Amino acid sequence: MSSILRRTITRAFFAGSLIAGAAFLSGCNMVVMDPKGPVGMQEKDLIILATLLMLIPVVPVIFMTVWFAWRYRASNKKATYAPDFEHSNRIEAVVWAIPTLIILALGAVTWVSTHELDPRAPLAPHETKANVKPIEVEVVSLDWKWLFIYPEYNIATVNEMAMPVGTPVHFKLTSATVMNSFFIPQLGSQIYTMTGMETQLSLRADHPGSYDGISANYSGHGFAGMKFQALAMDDAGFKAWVAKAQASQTSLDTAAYAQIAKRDLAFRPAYYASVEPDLFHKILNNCATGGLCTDDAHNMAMMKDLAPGAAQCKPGEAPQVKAVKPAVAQAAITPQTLLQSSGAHKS
Amino acid sequence: MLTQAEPAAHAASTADASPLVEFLFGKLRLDSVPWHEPIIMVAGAGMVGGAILVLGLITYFKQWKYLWTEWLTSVDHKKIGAMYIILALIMLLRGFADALMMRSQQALASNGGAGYLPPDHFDQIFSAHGVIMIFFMAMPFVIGLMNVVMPLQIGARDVAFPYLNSMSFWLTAAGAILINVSLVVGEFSHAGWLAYPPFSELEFSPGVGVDYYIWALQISGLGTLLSGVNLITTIFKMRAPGMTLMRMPVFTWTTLVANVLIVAVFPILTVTLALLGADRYLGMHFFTNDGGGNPMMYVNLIWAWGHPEVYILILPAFGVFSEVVATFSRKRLFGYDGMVYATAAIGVLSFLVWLHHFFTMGAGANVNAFFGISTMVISIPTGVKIFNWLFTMYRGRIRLELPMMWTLGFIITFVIGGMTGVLLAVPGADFVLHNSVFLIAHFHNVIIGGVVFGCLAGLNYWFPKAFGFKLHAGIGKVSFWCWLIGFWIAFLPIYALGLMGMTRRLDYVNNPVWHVYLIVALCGALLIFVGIIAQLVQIVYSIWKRDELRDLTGDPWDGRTLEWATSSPPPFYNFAVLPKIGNHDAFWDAKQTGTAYVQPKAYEPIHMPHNTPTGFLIGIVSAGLGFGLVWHIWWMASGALLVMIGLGIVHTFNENRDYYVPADEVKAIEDAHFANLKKAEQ
Ligand code: HEM
Ligand SMILES: [Cu+2]
Ligand SMILES: [Cu+2]
Repeated sequence: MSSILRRTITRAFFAGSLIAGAAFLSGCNMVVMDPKGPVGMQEKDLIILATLLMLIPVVPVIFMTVWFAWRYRASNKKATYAPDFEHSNRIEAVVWAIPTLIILALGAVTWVSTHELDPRAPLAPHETKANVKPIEVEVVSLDWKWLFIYPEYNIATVNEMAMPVGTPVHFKLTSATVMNSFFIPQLGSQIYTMTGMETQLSLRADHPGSYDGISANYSGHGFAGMKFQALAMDDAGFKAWVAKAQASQTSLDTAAYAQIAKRDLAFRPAYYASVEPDLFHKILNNCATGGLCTDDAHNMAMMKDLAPGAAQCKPGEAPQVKAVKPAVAQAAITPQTLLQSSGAHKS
Repeated sequence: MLTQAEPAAHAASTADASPLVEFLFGKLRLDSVPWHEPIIMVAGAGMVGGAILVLGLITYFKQWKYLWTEWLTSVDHKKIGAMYIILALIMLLRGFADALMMRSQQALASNGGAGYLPPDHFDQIFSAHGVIMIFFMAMPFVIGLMNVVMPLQIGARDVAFPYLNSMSFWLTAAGAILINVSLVVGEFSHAGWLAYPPFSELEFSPGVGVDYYIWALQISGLGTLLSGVNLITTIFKMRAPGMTLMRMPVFTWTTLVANVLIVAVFPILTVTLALLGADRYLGMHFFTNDGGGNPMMYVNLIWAWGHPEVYILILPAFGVFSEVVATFSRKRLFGYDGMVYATAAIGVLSFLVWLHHFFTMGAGANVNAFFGISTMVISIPTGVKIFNWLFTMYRGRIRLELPMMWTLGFIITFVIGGMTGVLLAVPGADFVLHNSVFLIAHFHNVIIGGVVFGCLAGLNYWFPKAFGFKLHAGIGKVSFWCWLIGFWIAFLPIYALGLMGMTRRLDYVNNPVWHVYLIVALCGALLIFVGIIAQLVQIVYSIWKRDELRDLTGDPWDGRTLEWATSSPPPFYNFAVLPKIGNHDAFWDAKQTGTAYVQPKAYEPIHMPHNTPTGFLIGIVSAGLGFGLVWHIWWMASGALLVMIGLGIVHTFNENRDYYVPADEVKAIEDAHFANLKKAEQ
């Protein structure tokens, strides 16, 4: 019985590894390993490099496990048996040294790559477009859709964005609901979007195409459908796309924004020919649908509490993730303003 | 799929209730039970039916008295440990049922279909699965093993505070009860196993789900904290004469470090959940979107607990493997000192890495790089441990018994999981892998390959110690192979899906390519299911055939540490005479020098604690406290709290807490043991 069992198990094991191997080899679907821009490219190389580095100890360990288990099995009386062998300075030195060296190498790689891939670091344009300036895009996560504002073109779109190939895009991101994560897997790095905070990210697409964009952080019932398309097109195509948005009949004023800020599950791409001034800043400060903006409240509190001009909170000034609502602000927020400013996303 | 009504519990209106109803039932109404949800009702009926069946059987066989005196009121660490493990096995079934539901939902809802679970139900399932598996499966299993084994390993007669130990267990059980009640009465949290705000705030989660989450974890967390204090004190104060710290068995060392971590970090969890509770119950704004709240604070706090928590789970598993490798290689553990230092180093380092769970929150490059590198540094002592196990096998005489098979399966599986973990610690790589199912595959790889395999190795290894007979090897092997192969079939496709850009927590995916992978993953999960069933069958069958599997010696594996020196099951006082220790392989040395089985001429009376129902009662009443708080039934909550305090105070007046076992009684028990030893020799 046990030999049949063993044979079945061996077979199942091989069948399993075959399926698994085949699954892994159909790698053309692995968008993370098939990036279309420099950020994703570098991240893919990093994954491969780190994996190879770690395989240096991992493969021998697996091999030694199987080998030792076989070689020193109890029935093999030919193998040396040293029941009191419990210490060897030489082996212990090697055993500490190997992982230490690997981690030293990987640590160096990590330090350098983390600085290069800092989401806030500016990104150069593709070499064929030496002098172009990055495009600014403001991103807001809503339940359960993505709002994109192009301040330079005064247009906005929902669940679809576009960028010219080779031109870096500088995203400023926030959330008008719970935390989400803005992620276009084929272009690289994701970044969280959080209410009242602004994060930043630079990406670039070097190949034309339509890439899936998702939220990578669970945000409720509609999370699975919270997707957008990121279109990378040549300059002419991008111009046409902007023109299409500008030709749209609707504009994103306070009322229209209040409409899309509502919770819903099926939101088709939409285009807005113009955008309420400073909308992103207002969303960031919780006053896009009315009420006192948190930065204003903050400033009022500061002026009351401190010497005039001590600490002013200017929009867009802080380069870091910034909390625009420090606790001091509470002093000036009356229950009334609080009610108003939190009313935006009451269910 | 697209127009989802909010679940019943959200909609249940409490506005038009009369004040009396409101007073009596808080927010609880008849329609809080999701009568219209067939899946929940069937699962609930199964659960209630199972409970009634068990209670009925106990009544039928007239076992209430036995249950009460021998188990429910017991303060014996071995019995409490066994109850922890029974709880863990039951919760493993529940958590795994959730896993199968998720796996089948994703397999069904990846090819255009909608599957059978609406989003809100799916969200509750992954939240319940994570919470149950971590808090009510892995934690009780690990704490159960520590309870059964550690006092025996250090030659103690019980833990330092036996009554507290009983209370700790029953508080944990109360948390588990609350979670399971939430299945039928109301809803469970849909906010994931860590309940990140602002999503877990009232604004986005108005139902009682998050409240169940908060109170289940607060109550069981208190139990865990108290148990940590207890086990640390036991190790520091109750070691047998001669057992210096550096002569403690490695499992005891890992128990010590894990419990130091518990005592250090569980208060963080308690405070964090209390602040979230203050937001939800008192209208405060610690973590809300408005009013100056800061959700990032919660994320930092919860991971300041959460990362050490994973080491609380894995370190004892490392301890199990260390014992098993030495025993089954018939060799001294290689590099004992190195093992101890590595354990301590891991414990310290585990406080310095929490930010690796949110590299994508936008911290600067210096911060991210620091936490990335500090995470990698942990892999150095971990790597040392693995090499030390390998060199323990080197030049050994390896017996491939079940515990050793689990250990070998662990090493091979865990190094891969460790590798993907270090990969995720590189911020640049994490920027594309974070929150993907690659991460899911990684942590299941280390937590199944490490913690679960470790627990099952420990179960097979120490079961004969606790109960006096071995577990059936053949069925155990079926379980082992199903788990090992099933794990890889279930999670290799998930790694691949992560690289394809699939995020976690998706209730549907609608992608024909992913569909295939998800089907394979489902098959793997089904194979694991066979493994779990085989594990349970192994236990039941072994109990049935216990006479054939009986071990009379107390030392079925030719063990090395002190727990094997006493009989199996050990007498309630563990050791009639406290042994003197000269080495960490104390019992092995005694066997070598022939001092192992020498019966002393005379015995002395032994000082032992009385059983007490107080821990059990406080624990059970605490479930009422939690239930009252969840549903805003204030009379119930305050009443339960008062009863708990009252029980505690009454207990302090109990002067009759301990007694002396007369020397004659000890002698009779020991004579029987030595007679068994003689019988075993023939
Ligand atoms: C036994 C086989 C298991 C299977 C098949 C399984 C399957 C799954 C699945 C499908 C998910 C959801 C993945 C997603 O979000 O897309 C999940 C999440 C999770 N699992 Fe498991 N699991 C298993 C065992 C365990 C064990 C033993 C533990 C811990 C001790 C565990 C802890 C978790 C946690 C913490 C989560 C995250 C829950 C969340 O997203 O909030 N699982 N598991
Ligand atoms: Cu809900
Ligand atoms: Cu961690």
